[in-house]
Amino acid sequence: MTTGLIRLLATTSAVLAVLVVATFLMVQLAPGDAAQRIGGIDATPEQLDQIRRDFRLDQPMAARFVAYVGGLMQGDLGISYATREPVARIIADRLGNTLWLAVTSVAIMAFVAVPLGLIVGGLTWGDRNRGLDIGFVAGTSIAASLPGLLVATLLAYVFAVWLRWLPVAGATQWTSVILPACAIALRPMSELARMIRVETLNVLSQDYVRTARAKRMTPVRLYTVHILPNVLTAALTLTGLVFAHLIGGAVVIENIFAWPGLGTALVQAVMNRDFPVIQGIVLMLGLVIILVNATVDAALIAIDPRVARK
Amino acid sequence: MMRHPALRAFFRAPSGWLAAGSLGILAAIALLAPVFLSDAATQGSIMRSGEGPSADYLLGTDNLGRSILARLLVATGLSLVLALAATALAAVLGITLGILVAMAPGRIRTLGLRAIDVTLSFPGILLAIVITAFVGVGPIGAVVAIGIAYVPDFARLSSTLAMSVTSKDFVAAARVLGVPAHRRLLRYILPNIGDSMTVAVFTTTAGALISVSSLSFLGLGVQPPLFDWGRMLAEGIVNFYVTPLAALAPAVMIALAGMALGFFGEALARAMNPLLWSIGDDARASKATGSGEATAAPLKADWKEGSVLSLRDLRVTYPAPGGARMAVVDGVSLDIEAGEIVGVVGESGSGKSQTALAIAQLLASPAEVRSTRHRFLGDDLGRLASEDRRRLLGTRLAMVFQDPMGSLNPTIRIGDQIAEPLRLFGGADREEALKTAVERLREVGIPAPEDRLSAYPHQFSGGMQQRAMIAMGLTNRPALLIADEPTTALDVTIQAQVIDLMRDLNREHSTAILLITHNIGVVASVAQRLIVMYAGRIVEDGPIAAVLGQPHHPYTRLLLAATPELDSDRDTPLGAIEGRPPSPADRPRGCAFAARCPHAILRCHDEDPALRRLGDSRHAACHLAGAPTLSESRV
Repeated sequence: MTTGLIRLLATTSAVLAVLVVATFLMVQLAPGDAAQRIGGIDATPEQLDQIRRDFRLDQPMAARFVAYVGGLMQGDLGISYATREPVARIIADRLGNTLWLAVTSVAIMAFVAVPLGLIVGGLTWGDRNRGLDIGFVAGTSIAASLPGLLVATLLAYVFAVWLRWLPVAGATQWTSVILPACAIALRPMSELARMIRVETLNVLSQDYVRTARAKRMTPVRLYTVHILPNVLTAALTLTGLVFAHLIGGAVVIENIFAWPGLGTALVQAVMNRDFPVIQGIVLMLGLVIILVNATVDAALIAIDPRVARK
Repeated sequence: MMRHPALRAFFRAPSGWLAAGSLGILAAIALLAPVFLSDAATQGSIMRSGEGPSADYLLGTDNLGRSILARLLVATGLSLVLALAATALAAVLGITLGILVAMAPGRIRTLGLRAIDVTLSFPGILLAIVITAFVGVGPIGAVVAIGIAYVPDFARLSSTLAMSVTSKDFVAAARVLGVPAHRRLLRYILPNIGDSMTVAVFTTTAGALISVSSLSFLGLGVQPPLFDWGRMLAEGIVNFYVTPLAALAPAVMIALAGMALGFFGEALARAMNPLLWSIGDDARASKATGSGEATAAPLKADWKEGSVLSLRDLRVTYPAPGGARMAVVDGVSLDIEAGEIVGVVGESGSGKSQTALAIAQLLASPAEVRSTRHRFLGDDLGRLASEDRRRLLGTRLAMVFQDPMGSLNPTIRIGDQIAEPLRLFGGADREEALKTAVERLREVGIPAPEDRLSAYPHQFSGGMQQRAMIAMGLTNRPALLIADEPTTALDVTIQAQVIDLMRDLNREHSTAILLITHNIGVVASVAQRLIVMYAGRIVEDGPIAAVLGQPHHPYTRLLLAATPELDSDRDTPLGAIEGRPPSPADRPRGCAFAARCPHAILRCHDEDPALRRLGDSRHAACHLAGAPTLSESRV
């Protein structure tokens, strides 16, 4: 287990390092004169020189990299070309919203997908309930291939325009999170439900389930104590991929619902070619993804004795 | 009609027709709509803005009074072309990269694969959005951005496929023979991964369509006056409350076109894989012939006191191709008395394990179990209320299976698994139950049992795992232990220990044991009674010494001859029974063993022998049993 964790720490650090270098190069290789962007169109040559000194633009790449990493350590992510605000503050204002949206999506996804996959797996095992089997596979395939754009538009139409139950855009009240979170969750939820079902079928055919059945426990205990941990362990290995889809969905769908998160800020920054902001957001989202993946891997090492042994 | 099996496979599922049809229609729209509808799509009357569906405008008009339907159809071409272009870019770059990685020397390859994996955990659309900041906003930028974003997907797939090809013998041989890398690539690798990559191109196009539309929607892709579906959605959503169709229609089109592409890819995958061609074609071709009525006579007329199990005419059937059902256990009757050890032998497929699982009521759909009597400890299991039955079987009947590693739950500690039966029915708390678990582990001879409670199954050796399984079976002091091949997965010295252990437990606690095995040697050392099964039926039954000393059924003789003994002459060739037992779906007329029997006479092929009584508590199902010809001849 310890060697597994050390190896995990090493790979995670390597990926983090690559992320830091890549985001650094992103701004360095960006087209246009950075000093001009910071100073604005009417900056005098003297002001531009001053900016170049202040932002170390006149120094060699290596020195700027050291300064960049040093800044990161102190939470300094540079300043926005467009608003001259510190990037760290822009992110701080919006990170909470995006995380809140992501956490809500994950919760919706897990609370629906895990029981659904488990129950359908139990009901369709041994070729029973062919109709349910076909319906489930067809339903989840369609749901997984529906673009987030359509889901979001439909949800907004039904619940905001037609029924007027929920707000259509913004983050003005606590119910604002529901529609975007559902729109984000649908695709990963379908994928997860299918994975859980496949794993449930797989676990159900294991000999230890026969052993558990021979003990004559109640179905609830059989599924929660004997089957679920094995199913989750197997499904956990794919969580990284599901989470990537979730974050990708969030970036797009935030824009449909005008959700004041990192996704809307990113698109705004790309339109403005505001590279420091792009850099900061990519760094932040990358960090979240890397940390989630590392946590999942660590959990796998801790939970499953079989994984730890490998 | 359709001769080629690949074509047949493609169009077998309705999705194949649907996908091909939809793509055909989309292609026609893409070509024709700009010619006929571009005026209607770009010029509208502000007087008629924001109208609902009408005869003039089937989908209504947008906020500038333009026909939504016309715009939708005209946008088809650009939407599809951008998606295809992005996919083509991704395929070329990704496949090149994947194959380079796959052909690279060891360490670089590992690093490359790892890098591809890490990139895949970053969402492609995020990557694409960032790339547009560099390449610029617009259709070309969108194609480049999405194309690059999908490179890791293609690289992963092509490297995996290419590696599976390079590891094949013929490619290794080519390398040893000095065939240069580019020749190996062209001659061996590309042709072998082409099929799968073609399929991937279509499924990726579906994803690319959604991604390009997303970029356009975000304002980073197609710019006015050009428009694709994503752009239409972006413009429509601004007036969502007024003209919801302006946003809904393009969103639905994106979804439908994406699904058509995805289904087309799946149908293509079916057509490209010869292994999938025939599935579903000859489901009805082989028609099962059901076996005749069960003919076995009851072994004992009535149930008597002291009996642990009394089973009459057990049949276990499974669905056979063609809708019929085939019997894997066909009329088995069996009695086990308290403290008795009964051995069941037979080849694999003889129905021994199915009988055991049916006795324990552990068979589930699609298996169907029937019997005229199934009494356990005097209670009719068919009549017992389900809660009582659960308790009775849970406390008084236990099972030990063949593969102890697989039969123990890998995520639950040994102690908790052994203690579980007590907690389920004994109402014991965890601490008490664990104390009993320690006792049981000690009984089965596991040293320092207190220290083993918190171990996980994989930390035990195979022999220890099987001891733990037996300990678990004994937790509630069952009346009957069903052991299904308990020693098969263990090595010889451990086998002997496990058999000794079962004998000791039987002696000390008078637990009845039903011991199922294909190894007569194992049974001979412990069982008092032997049952021989063949093709789902009991063919011989009697006290072990009598059966082993003078077998009545030719199959029993052959089984005995096939069993090596420690003191047998090494020069004697090991007997193996020629031929195979009949498939339960295709049981012959007459005796099921006749085809393999060295003594078979005409009658055997014609008339199914019933299990008949032959002297003191012995039975055999053979026309020749007891006849002098059989007892004198040597096998």
